[in-house]
Amino acid sequence: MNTDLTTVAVSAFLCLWWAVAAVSLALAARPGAGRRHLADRWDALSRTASLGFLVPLCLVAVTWTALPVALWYLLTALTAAAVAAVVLRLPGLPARGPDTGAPARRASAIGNTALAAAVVCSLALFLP
Amino acid sequence: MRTRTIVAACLAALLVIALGVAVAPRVPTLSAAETGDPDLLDRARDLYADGPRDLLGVVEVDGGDTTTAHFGGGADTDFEIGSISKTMTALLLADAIERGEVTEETPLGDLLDLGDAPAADVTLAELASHRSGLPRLSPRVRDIAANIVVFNFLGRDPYRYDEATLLDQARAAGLADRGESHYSNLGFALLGLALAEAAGTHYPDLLHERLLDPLGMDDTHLPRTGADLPADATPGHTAKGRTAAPWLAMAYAPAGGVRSTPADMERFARALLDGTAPGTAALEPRWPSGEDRIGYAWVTTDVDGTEVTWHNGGTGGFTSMLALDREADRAVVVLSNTTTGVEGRAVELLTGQEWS
Repeated sequence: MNTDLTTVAVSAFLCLWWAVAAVSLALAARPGAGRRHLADRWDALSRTASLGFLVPLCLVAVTWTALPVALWYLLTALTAAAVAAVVLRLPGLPARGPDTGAPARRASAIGNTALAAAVVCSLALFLP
Repeated sequence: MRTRTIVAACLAALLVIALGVAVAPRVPTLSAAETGDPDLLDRARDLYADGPRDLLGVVEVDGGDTTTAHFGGGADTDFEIGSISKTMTALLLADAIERGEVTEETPLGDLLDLGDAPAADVTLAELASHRSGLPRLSPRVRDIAANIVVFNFLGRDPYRYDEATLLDQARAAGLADRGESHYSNLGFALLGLALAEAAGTHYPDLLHERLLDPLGMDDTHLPRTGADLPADATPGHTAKGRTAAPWLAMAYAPAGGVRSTPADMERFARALLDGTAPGTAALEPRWPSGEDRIGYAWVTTDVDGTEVTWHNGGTGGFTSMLALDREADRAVVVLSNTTTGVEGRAVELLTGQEWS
């Protein structure tokens, strides 16, 4: 394959995005994570779902022949760690935060979950 | 922290890992199951060992001798040959001219119902030499959008259009830089449809009757549906690291819908070299094409003093190259089921010279 620089750059950018999203989620799930902490369970669902959207996006959009496939496994491991961190944190989170941002987080969670589900279902149906 | 939560976290992590492993991209390497001529195997391995590869079939024709090298598969393994199909359509054009069915100046509109669309005015020779000014693909926004999603992201066949849709695409197309060399799959699809119309048949039948059957290319076919594919059809690999959907030979078959085997491509190459293929006038270079010259589809390039007549092919999961040194009576065919290019190294096998 004649991989041009743009293909490599776009692929690397997408992988970087995935890595940042996974690491951010894992860090946000720590108790006392500061301003970026998970505010409530809707927030946890929203951020996990957005990661769930990124994974299939990278599967279909990254030119994996241009990058080491080991990167896929590394990012999968990061994602697994982030999801585990969220599950560990869930019992300590309120179902719905008391602040004014709660409705937005709920809407974001529903939207992100729907988007991730739509992407995963589409790929399951249409990928050869 | 409760044990139940820890177990749930571990299970969630394991689920993510299991899914990730299940759908992980696969980047194959050149098959180690080698058969064929030891010398050619050595030379081909040196040239094609790098990059994502899987099955690779190499055929070297030198006068009356043929040597082969197969990395996985064998002489009868089928590959999508992509745009090498255009050279077959080009031969059909030259043959149809010899038969008096058309001339190279026949306007497309004389054979196809294109109304007063600009495409109606282009000639068959312009289509065959990529000088028609037609765009590379359908210019319709819906087709462009579908192409991006269907081909680029999903790895599916981007050319699943019937003949009526092809005509709609042609009616929607304008001409740009007519007379200059601009590669057009749309143009070649229309050329094949026009030639079939002139002969009063369908393109697959025309190709079989006039080219494939006379040359004994019995394992070369144009699957129009998935059911037409052989049970052991070779899967291709996309650049995204997934299995590619097969490209089926619908209206764009004349531009890239043929599947063939190393054995059949040897027959094709030999018939081109000895002039027994119908319409070999198509190979003669007549127009400039960048730094090269072009005949009907066939490109001629000077490689350090050797005149190489060639065409390559690429689909969603395959690449191919057919290169001829007509003066030396030599040919090289390389067929592959990954998207890693094979062209330059095929010419290197043919001429001994590096070519980029």
